[in-house]
Amino acid sequence: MRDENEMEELESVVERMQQGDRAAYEVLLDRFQPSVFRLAHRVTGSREDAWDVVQEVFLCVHRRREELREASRFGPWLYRMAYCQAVDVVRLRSGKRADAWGDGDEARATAPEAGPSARAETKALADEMNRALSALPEKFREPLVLATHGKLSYEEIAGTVGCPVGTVRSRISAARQLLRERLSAWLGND
Amino acid sequence: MQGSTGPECAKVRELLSARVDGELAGGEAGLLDAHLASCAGCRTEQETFAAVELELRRSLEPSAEELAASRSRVLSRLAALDGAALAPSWWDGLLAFTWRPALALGIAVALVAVIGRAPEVVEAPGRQSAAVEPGDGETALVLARLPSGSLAGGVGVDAGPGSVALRLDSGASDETPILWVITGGEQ
Ligand SMILES: [Zn+2]
Repeated sequence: MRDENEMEELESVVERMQQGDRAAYEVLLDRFQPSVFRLAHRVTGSREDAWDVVQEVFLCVHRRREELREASRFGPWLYRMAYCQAVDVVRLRSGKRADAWGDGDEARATAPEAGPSARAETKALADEMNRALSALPEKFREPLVLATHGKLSYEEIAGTVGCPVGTVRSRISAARQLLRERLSAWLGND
Repeated sequence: MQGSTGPECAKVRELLSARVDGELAGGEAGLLDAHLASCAGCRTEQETFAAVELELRRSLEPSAEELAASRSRVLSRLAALDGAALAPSWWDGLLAFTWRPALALGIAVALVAVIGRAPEVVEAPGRQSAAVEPGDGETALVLARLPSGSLAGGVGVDAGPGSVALRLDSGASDETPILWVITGGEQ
């Protein structure tokens, strides 16, 4: 994944894209479109919104290509833009701040009744994951999503969000813990 | 959480989290495994953790059709942006301060001096695109005030049909762009 040759090759493609090479841009588009979509889908919970995010992010890549100082940091740069764009889309849609995590007393969806179809249960679990994620405080959710869906290292995340690596690590763990607490009713270990 | 409550157990949760991200430091893997081997509560916790992680990473895969559609949309929007970026740099300095139709007319008047005959000016608010086909010896300009207030434009000097094409993409903005098309040339 983080193979050195692959990284060097990617850097050279990024540099060519920064110089305005359209073919290089297309290589990056093809390579990163699926992962940007998945990240955006994870954050927005909506396929349609996720595709809008993909559009905006790749136009931003073009417009802001000169802002990227080191080609090796293309991934963190791209996924951070994707994350921020996705959060904006959610805010616009809901008209409220996305990080309204309460202290556990907000209406929680009830745990599944015995005997619903497996598909309904899967759907309910997915919905609850979406709710749990959108309820996470931004400072926990961003590093978590960048790690799981952007495949960024903790060091890259630290550089991107501007806090120490140890903080990234503990926040990601806290984020998972909050998700686990919220989903425990579905997962049978409470 | 059956029994997984000691200080070491709390630490184990962070190690479980770091492990799925491939971020365990040297020696931590051994610590984690040793604790899991001796703590039933944390073993149960590990299973729940894995189930949450699976759900977190479960994602809808984009279809090949969706990817292709998105790709071509990105590229066509990009082509439009590039068209808009054709404005020579001196336009920026000259025209960045204020935008109004009168200014386009001013440019048109300046064109008269250069090209010797009255140019045609077409103002087309709300239009998203304009293509101008200058004839022999003709000069054409397409200017647009973008919703952001900035200017985009293209200039073509008897470079053949369709040499000036500007397509605007107003994106999510509800403000419509204004396009001016100015053509003129020697008789
Ligand atoms: Zn334990």
